[in-house]
Amino acid sequence: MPLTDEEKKLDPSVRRLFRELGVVAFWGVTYASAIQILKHHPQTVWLRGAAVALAIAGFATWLVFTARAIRSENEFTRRIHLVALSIAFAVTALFLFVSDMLQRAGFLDYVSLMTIFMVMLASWWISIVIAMRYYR
Amino acid sequence: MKNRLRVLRAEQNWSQAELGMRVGVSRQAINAIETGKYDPGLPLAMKIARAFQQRVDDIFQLEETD
Repeated sequence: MPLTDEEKKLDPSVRRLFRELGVVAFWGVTYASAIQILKHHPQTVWLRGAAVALAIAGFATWLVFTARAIRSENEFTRRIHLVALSIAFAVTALFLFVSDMLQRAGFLDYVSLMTIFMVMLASWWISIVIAMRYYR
Repeated sequence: MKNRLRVLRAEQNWSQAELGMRVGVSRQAINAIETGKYDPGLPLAMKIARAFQQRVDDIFQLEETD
């Protein structure tokens, strides 16, 4: 998407924040639209397929944007993200393992995939804060 | 890895933020290098050496534990 004259005047970090918000909004809209389609057209196979594709496209856009944003950072910031992703991976793996064991033992009925995803995202964000505090 | 960053920076009378700006990293990055929490990669180490007009191994030295 080409930059407007107003955007060119902004600080690069502010410009990137706006882009990040735009991409997150796009992801949100595609996800909400997909959920609505699945809710209102549960019998139509091609529509359900399109809804899934739409949601994946929105998420993939955010994923690619985030990966590019991290890659464009300096090596120190990339290190912080590497540490944060490592912590988030370990936390998510632990959460999965504990959930599985609790389910097998009968202490837990069901853990939705979206809950696991949210735990992963939350642990990633918290890990970034922890890593930044450690290196501060 | 030990380094003479703090001493060299003081000689130049540069703040951490100023050095960070010269080599393209944040003040936090310079602080992390100075306190030994973070060892820079080769590109950053070379940029720092260039900023001080010194050789990389005049600024960064391996320790016995490295």
